[in-house]
Amino acid sequence: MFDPLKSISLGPFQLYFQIIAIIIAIILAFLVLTNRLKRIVPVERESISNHLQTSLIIAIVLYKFWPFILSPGLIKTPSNLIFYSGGPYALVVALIGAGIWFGFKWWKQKWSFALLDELSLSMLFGWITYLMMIKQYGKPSPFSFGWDKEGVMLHPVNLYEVIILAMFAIFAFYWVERSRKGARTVYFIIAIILTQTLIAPF
Amino acid sequence: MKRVSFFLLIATLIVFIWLGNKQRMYEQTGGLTQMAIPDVGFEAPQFELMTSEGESFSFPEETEGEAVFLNFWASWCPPCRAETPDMVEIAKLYEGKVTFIGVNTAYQDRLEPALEFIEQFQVPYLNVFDEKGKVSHTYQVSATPTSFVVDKKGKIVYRKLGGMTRQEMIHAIEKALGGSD
Repeated sequence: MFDPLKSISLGPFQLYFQIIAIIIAIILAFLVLTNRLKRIVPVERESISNHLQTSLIIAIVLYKFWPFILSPGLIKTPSNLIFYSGGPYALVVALIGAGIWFGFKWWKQKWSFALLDELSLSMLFGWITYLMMIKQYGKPSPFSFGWDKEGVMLHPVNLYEVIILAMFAIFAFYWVERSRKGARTVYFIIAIILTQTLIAPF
Repeated sequence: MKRVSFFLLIATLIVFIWLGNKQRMYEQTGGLTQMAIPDVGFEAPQFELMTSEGESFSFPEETEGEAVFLNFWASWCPPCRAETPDMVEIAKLYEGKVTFIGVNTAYQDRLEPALEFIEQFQVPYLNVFDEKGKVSHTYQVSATPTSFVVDKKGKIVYRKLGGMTRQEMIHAIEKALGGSD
């Protein structure tokens, strides 16, 4: 597992392990989704994955250009395009923008509501993948296990989250009815809220 | 297996509720509750560096109870040059409310151009020099500019690698001022 603040140099660029983990998690979640769509909606699979890729590009573009949307004056100096990205609410705007685009396409193409369950399942898979790659430090722990930081044991919050989410996922596999559209999505939302509540003390 | 999955989930929930209670008891009985890590949500690590006049500056001792904007920079770094005019303006805007500190990554810079940089941009706030790179290492600064905004309690509320726009600086500072009330 990697430290979120550690980075590697690629020529003039610094790549944080956190960014690498996000990219890997997105790729794996996408592969899981396309693989499942092959079985569930084989005809629409290609169209759905195309629009998903477009949504991802929209999210990246919005995130990158958000500072220029907030302060159009910055664009007067073209080199600012290299220096600035992100900023306040950039991530939220990027996700909402991508979500609106994909939602619009969903509504227009009249895709099945069952797609929602597949999307939430692959997103959960991506999230667990990310948590397994990047350390998340918690508070100092009274126990002898955890992430050792300068001799102090810290709660391994990401591992706690993985364990709880994995148990919820195993439970869902046996207990949540797959034929009821949207049931798994609702279950996963409840599972995530409960998981966050359980890990809050750490 | 269906039953096993049910009992596994219940056991996991019980274990984590128990761990949470143990943690609360540990904190109530005076256990360590915070740790200095250069990331959001943690205490900002301490450091002691020299100013260009050769005076020693200790953080956070000398900024106790103040919100702090820490900016790691180098004179040759183009994004540092791009963001500094805005930073100077924001430092003046928040004078008395937020302490701005520039940390020159002197181990990969030279004193003369660094001082020229300060003069060129008429930087009004304190600048210290990290000659051995120890503080940059402690703060895990892999590239410049990297900025940290610390609230009045000494907790990091914002960390950014790369240039910050005016809006971003204001947003981070307001977070530090609001969060510590």
